[in-house]
Amino acid sequence: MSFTSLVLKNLWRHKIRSLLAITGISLGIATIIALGAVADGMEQNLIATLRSGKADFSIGQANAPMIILSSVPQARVAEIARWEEVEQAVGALVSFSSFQNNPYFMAIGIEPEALDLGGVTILQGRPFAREDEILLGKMTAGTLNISLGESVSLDAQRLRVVGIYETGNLFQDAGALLYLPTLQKLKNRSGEITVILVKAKAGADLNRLTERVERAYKNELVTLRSAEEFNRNYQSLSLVRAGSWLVSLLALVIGGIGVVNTMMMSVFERTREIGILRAVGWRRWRVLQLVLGESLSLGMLAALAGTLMGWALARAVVLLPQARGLIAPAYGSELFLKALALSLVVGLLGGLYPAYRASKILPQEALRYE
Amino acid sequence: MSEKIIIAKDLVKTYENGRTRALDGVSLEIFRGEAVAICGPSGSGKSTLLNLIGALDRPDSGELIVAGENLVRQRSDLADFRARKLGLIFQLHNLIPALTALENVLIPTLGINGGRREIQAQAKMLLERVGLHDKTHRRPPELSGGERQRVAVARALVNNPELILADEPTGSLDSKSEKQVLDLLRELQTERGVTLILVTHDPRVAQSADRVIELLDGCVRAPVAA
Repeated sequence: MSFTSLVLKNLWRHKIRSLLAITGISLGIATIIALGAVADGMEQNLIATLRSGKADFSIGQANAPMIILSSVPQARVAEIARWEEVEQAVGALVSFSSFQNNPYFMAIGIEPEALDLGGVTILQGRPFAREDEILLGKMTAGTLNISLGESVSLDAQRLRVVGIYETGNLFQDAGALLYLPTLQKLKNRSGEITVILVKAKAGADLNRLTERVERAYKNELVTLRSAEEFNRNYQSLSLVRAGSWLVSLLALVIGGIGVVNTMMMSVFERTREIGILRAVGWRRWRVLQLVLGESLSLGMLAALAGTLMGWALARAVVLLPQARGLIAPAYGSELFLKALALSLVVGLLGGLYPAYRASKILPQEALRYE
Repeated sequence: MSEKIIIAKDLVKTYENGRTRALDGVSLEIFRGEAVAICGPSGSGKSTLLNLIGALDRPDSGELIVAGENLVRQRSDLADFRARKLGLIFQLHNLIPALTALENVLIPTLGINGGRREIQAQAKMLLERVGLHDKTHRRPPELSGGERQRVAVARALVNNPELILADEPTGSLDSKSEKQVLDLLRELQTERGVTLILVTHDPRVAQSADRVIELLDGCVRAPVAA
């Protein structure tokens, strides 16, 4: 028998109590994994969106709470396109629409000549040429089993599918592209767009160009080149992250209290046993290590269980019809390491006081204890 | 039998802020290899004396040297001393119920760095020596009172101590088991050349020792040869 096996035996002796403590922490860990994976997935998609195609950067409305709620006057596209450092500037309207029973379908209105700048590759058919034509992302076409030439309904407007496209971006490939004026009309947002995609001329200084945009349209427009800039300007992702941390923290505090309770009960019940250990020559430090070893093992087992639960939870969210195409969880090693570290910290903190109490047990007192 | 393993001078131990005087100036000497019984009625201070010799408690005043260690001047945790020099046997055997007989014997060695395989072999050998070779994987609730106490004897010897302290080791046993355990303790003490101190209130048990030290009201009465 080794010291480690004694630690595990002690946990096994009170299976139900250990299981409850593990469940407490693992719920917090599962929340961290599930929400973290969703937020990371959203961020990765966002980066892909911002870097999609040949655009060097995007321009959105300053102070808009979410990118989808950004509103930029369409006239700005032509103004910026005239700048000498700019090779091409195109506007896109992004909007949630009702499509074949899905009320959260992402439709993007864009001019046909801007498809290349948007990184769109036509897999089948051709680009739209008329106001009543639409291109479907490959995921949309695949999931709904829609073929070229079929008529579909977008916000009750009948449109003919003339092509299937791919961008490599989950949001876009699970949506549809159509003629900008058509979407503006459908959404009653004439003269309005969501973002401007900008391609700079070769050799142009991108920093100076983005500064020029923000200076010229101060408090009106912001430029977006990275996820950090996106986070700074639009708080949706930050809010998801903050919310996820808050929920996780709460769950972990509850889990931590569970560990303290479990370990305190365990130490109290084993007063006599701990006295025996001290009497036969165990030092205080060794007793401390035993109890901390038990609480850390609870944390480690909770990390394992929580990771599995979190992974399953994120998978379940993806399978929801409302989330299909909008969420692709990303399971980075950093997320798992963070969850493991947190779980161990909760185990350690939860075990500190009971371990201290255990190490203070006097052998002669404990041996008298009944 | 010339080397003194225990030297106690004027040991005083009080409880309840001095209101109860458990030991009132106890002086004694015990030699290496001796089997000594400390006997006396309930409340005479024998368990308190054993706790002091076993480094489980400290005297209020007096001198106490055990196996070359001055236990009064030593300020640090005496756990290391107990682990290296002592083997303790209690009346209620004090085994850990969730662990097997073998694991209980190994418990004192878990804090010690050393070859696990050798220690494991030593523990098995001891269980065999106390007649429990076929019960190494039984837990205490599956063993009889006598068997449990024999596991406790094996546990007390696993760290090769210089001194075995047994507090009423047969107090909870029937007469047959009592004889078995006492015989075993004496055999092992002789085989290993260790010093044995038996604390008992039972004169029959005290008779099994080489020498008897009788305590009454916290004081040593004149030592009596067994």
